[in-house]
Amino acid sequence: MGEINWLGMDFAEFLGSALFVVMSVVVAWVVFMVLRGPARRLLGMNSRLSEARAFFVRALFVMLLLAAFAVSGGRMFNLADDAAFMEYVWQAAGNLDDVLGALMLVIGGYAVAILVLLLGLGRYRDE
Amino acid sequence: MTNEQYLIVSYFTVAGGGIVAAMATAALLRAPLRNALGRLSRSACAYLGRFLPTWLVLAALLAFVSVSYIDCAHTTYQSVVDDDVHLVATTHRQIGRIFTYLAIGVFTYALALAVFLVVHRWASTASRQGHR
Repeated sequence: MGEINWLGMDFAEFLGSALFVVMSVVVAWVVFMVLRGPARRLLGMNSRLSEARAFFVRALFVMLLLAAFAVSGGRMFNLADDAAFMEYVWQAAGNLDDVLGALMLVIGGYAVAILVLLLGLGRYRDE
Repeated sequence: MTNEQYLIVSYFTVAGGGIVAAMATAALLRAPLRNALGRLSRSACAYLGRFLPTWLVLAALLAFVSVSYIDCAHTTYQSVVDDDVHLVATTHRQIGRIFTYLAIGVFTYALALAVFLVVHRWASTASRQGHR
């Protein structure tokens, strides 16, 4: 029966994976910081939605974070034992492609959902 | 650690981690959710507040069990245990799918909550106008 490291990978691969997770989270956080203000303003356009504004903005952050974890946690750094540093960089760049794609899907889905809701409701004020 | 020990440990660790991730996600959203539900009746507030963690835990468990170790190249338990690369790859696939389902769970909950809030405000405005 075969033997396996408890991490399921050697230390260099573990380090590469951990750095990739951190990089993905940083990208998700930067995207959220860029979009936070406009999303808050957009949700404030309609008073029916504005009372739940904090929840929807937090939900956007959580979705971006989960999407980043989903891609970075599901990818392996499966390189040869004597792989060069740049091979790890290329693998990270290749995986980052999927992280950015997932973040785009989250932003796109969120924007479409909010815009459809706002288009249906129009600007609404109680007074 | 043998491959079989790795399989047992990683399987239950990922399952437990998925539940913890779902609870942590629900906890992260609890405070703003409570503010959002502030104007609703206490029973609706309690139901929608309790619904989120349950929904997310179910999403995480569904994601976890939807990944199978058995595939075309590994049709028996022994062939699964013998292939360490397959074991690690499947563990990563489980982790990835749990977070994907959690993101989808949060998205659908937020969308349902938006629709619920809008319908609730419409209904309460209509009933106020009906009383005048």
